[in-house]
Order: sequence, then C-alpha cells, then structure tokens
Amino acid sequence: MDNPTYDLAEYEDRWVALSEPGGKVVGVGQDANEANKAAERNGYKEPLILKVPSSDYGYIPVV
Amino acid sequence: MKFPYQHFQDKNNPQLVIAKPMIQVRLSHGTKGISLCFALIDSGDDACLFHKSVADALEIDYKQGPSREFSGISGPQAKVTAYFHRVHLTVLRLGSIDLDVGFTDSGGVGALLGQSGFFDGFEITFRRFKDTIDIRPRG
Repeated sequence: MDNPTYDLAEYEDRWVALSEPGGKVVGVGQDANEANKAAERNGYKEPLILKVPSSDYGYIPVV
Repeated sequence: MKFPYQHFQDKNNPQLVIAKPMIQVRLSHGTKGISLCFALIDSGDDACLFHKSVADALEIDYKQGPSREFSGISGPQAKVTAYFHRVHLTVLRLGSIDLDVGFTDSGGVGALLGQSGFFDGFEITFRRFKDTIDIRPRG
C-alpha cells in the first residue's frame, strides 16, 4: 500500500499543495485557498491540499 | 476499502514518525469544488470542521450559516465558532455523502472528519497495528 513519509517540517502550521500523494510541494500558503492558487499558478490544476501538522506539540481534537 | 495512515517526520527527532489517519477527500458546493484535500479522521470530534479558507475556495459566505461553538481540553476560554453549511463530500475511490460541515477561522483547524456527518455516513475501523483504516459506505 502506498504509504509515504512526509518531511514537511519547513512548512509546519502552513498549508501546502502536493502534486500527488507523496509528491512534491507545488504551492504554499497561509490557508488552503492560497496554497491551491499557488499550485494553479505553477500549472497544477488538481493538487492535494494539506494543512501541515506541527511536531512541536501533539494533536488533540478541538471538541 | 483500506486506506493507509499518513506519516510525518518529526523535525525535533528524525527517528520519530507520527502516523495520522488522514484520507483524501473532495468537497463541493453547487458547481464549485475544491481540489483534493487531506482530512484527519477524528473520532473525538463532534462534527466535521474545516478552515474557512476551504469555504472561500467553494465560494461559500461561511458566516451566513448557523453557528455552533466548540472547545477542547483548553476549556471554554478557548472556544472557536464554526458556521455550518451543507456540502457534498467525496472520499476518493470510495463514495460520496451530503453532510453539514462547520467552517471556522481558527488556525488550529485544518480539515477534520468527525462524528456527526462523516461517522454517520461511513463505517470506519482503525487498524493502527496494520497501518490501515478500513472505510465502507454505511450498509
């Protein structure tokens, strides 16, 4: 099963657009819309958008 | 259908890899759809919550929806407000449902698939020891 490990530390707490699962970063932004538009400007119409989690703290649900 | 956990390298400890139950989903609203998004399956979350920028991409005026406040372990002093809208959610390679999603300007919220809506529509089994999540349309 396709199961890549992401090394996205430089983008923590920001949003990135990936070319595909496990693929390269083709757009970065402070939110999903920014990352999506950056990817479009780079020629990627169907990027995979991801909010990069921080490794400085663990995640617990907001609710 | 089985989906893999997604793995993230810890910047403070390169030997440490954090596994997260994240899957690819697509949201659409009317004729507008955002590109694929990685969303965290969060069984402790009461509702499905997305950052407001996802609503922006869908051209939803997010504050026009009914609101609900949420808080976590930080207590009620750290409340966030989410505004709910009906959207169409597709789990890539599996299926689609219509559900109510809350949008919030909280920077702590990316894309969360919680109990109301998502767990109503799909049968979800976490198999962390196998590094997979088994998701099926509700029978």
